[in-house]
Amino acid sequence: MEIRHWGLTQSIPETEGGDPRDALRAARAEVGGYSTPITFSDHERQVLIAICNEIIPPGDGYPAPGDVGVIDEFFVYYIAPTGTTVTRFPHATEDTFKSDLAKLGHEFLEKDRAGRVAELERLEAEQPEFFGQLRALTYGGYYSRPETIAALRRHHDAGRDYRGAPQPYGYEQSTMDWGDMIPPKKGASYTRTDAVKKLV
Amino acid sequence: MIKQNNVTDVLVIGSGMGGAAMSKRLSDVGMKVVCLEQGDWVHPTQHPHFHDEWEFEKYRSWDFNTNFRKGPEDYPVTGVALPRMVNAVGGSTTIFAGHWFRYRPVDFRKGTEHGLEGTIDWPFTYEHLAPFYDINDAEVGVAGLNGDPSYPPRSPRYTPPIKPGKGGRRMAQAWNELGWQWWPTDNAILTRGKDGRLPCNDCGNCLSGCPRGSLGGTAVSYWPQALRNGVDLRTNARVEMIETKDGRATGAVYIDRLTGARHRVSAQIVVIAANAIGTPRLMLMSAQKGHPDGLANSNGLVGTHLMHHTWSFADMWFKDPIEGFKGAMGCSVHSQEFYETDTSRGFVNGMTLLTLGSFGAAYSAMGTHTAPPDPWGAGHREAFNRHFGHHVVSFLQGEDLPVRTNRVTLDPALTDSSGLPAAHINYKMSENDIALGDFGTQRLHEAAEAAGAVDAHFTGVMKDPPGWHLMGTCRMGNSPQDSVTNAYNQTWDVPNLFVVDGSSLTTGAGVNPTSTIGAVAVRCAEFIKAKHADIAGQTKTPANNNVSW
Repeated sequence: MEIRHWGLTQSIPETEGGDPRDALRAARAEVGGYSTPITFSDHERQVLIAICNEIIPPGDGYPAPGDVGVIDEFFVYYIAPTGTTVTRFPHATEDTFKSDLAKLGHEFLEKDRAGRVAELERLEAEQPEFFGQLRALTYGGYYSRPETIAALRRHHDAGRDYRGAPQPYGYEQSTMDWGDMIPPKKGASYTRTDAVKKLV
Repeated sequence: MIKQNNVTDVLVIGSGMGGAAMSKRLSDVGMKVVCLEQGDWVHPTQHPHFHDEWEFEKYRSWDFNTNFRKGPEDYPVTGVALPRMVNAVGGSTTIFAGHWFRYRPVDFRKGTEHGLEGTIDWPFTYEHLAPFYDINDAEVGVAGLNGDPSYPPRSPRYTPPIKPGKGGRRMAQAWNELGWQWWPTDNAILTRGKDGRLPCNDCGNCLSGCPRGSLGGTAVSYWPQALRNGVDLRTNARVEMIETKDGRATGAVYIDRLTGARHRVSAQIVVIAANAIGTPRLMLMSAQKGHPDGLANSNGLVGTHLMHHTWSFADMWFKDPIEGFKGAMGCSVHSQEFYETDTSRGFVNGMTLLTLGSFGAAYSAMGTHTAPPDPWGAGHREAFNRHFGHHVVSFLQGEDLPVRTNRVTLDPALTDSSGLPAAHINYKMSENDIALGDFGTQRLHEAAEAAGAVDAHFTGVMKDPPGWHLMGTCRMGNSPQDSVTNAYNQTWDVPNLFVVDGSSLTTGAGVNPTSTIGAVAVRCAEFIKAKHADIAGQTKTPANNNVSW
């Protein structure tokens, strides 16, 4: 079936004998990104890992993005596969994303770190949309990986019991309660209905 | 195949706060109700809370804004539009923060107080609505602290207030230093269990809904009992037109989004509860013989007087850990020090200052709701460490004037997935609203300093305000010259057509509207229960004579 919305026509596989809701669900954004992950060549992976590792440099006990699966477990699900008509944040589409990546060329991997940073600064200035996608995917992916969450627990002063995904445990045992702050001491009042008068 | 009965006593359009309250309360006494909802149920596993990517999904599957989420159940909104809405069972209560303020008595008398722009008095008083606030509170389950002296006495809160966390405590202490009034905020969040719903476990991700049922959206508060009562809730049912004959509504035609087939439901009474964008959109789409400019729009007021509230945000960061990712996201503590009009400030109306929880690591790195992302590269780690877990949001929510030219119309070109016109928004802040926002922004600066923030980011008045609150576009009023409905939500033009959502609110006050939308809907339901025989014979909508409750 075809679903037309936001001025775009989206083709959804027909379901035979199943729940017709399946087709509508396929047209929604579901948790976890696009249902079909895209694939990167080895070279594309290497370039992306190098980029991510400059966007969030490792150190101080924090792992490198390239070592925690940011590309293979996150980028591939949040870049819209070729043929996707309705895209969602960060609105990266496979063909355009790979094309922009290819423009960095083989030279990117041959540069030293300062050279890579300079190239990314150029990208940020000249291709802000593409750079914004790279940054969003890196930040979103890196800070959702279990290895990063574990590093936050070990090294961040506010992260000692940070869980990442908030359910099923929540923070019931460690969220600070009111104690003796309530009831508040300062009085207050309100204007009664019959006391409302013209002020202007 | 289930055979559907397409003749009913009451047809309700929309399953959010107004539609759910209406459906449940009417079915309590055995009235036959069909409710049409263009979205579907949200399954608990569709919430992102259990997934590593939970924060990235705030920008995608759980984005507030339909224009970004782009679900097939949603409709586009063009113009000055950042509409916060959900099309699902529960409507936008699926994704609300749960702030559960009441209007104050003065809020119902702003026409008397100043009457600026399109401001009029409500057709009833706080005292009229108070019993229905209490009923709605009991249905939903409200956490709070009894005894707030800023309001008339009200029913006991169902459970103790939500925890403030370190951030809420910090802001309350700052307001103490400034000598400002504050109080723990009422929230539609259970801090004890109720009717099989789990109590809040302080996970902090309320803005992506709540898979535990702690947050009092209508899908878990009103709907279970409404369905047990026998309400025929039809999901994926998108209303195309409300039909009329001889000056009365006869029902509606809807499109089953699963099959594309059209169906007609006939009803003695039709109630629209599709939010302050969706309701005027539907009424304008329902132009027909006898209603050439849209249904119940002979005075041209359908869609006008749109209100969003006036907004200004402060992101504050502190040296010591705040751990704002813990505890309910919504407001734990608020100040109404500047709530009522003081003309010496140079504007009318007032505001509530609220405090929010904060975010997890990914959302923190990507920026907050209003602050820029952390820098990348060599400076990233230091900036991230300063920001994550050290952050508090405070903001002002001010009363904006109802301005006739701030309105909802139909987009001439863009359509939804069924080919129905998109909504279009015109909204421009008044000078009064800007002055109010500037004043409040200065108070946010003072509070940030008193709280000891080491860094802060202020938005100033957001002149294209987020459409988080949608109000006023089919407002209740005092005569057919100033409003779309009478005091009991009956449209002036069509006596058996009622409106019970944010569009019916006459003014917006300086507080979140959901509690008042629910109370007004409960009041309207009690009116229909008591008067449905009269309504069935009416060909002219009664005037507001002797509003007694």
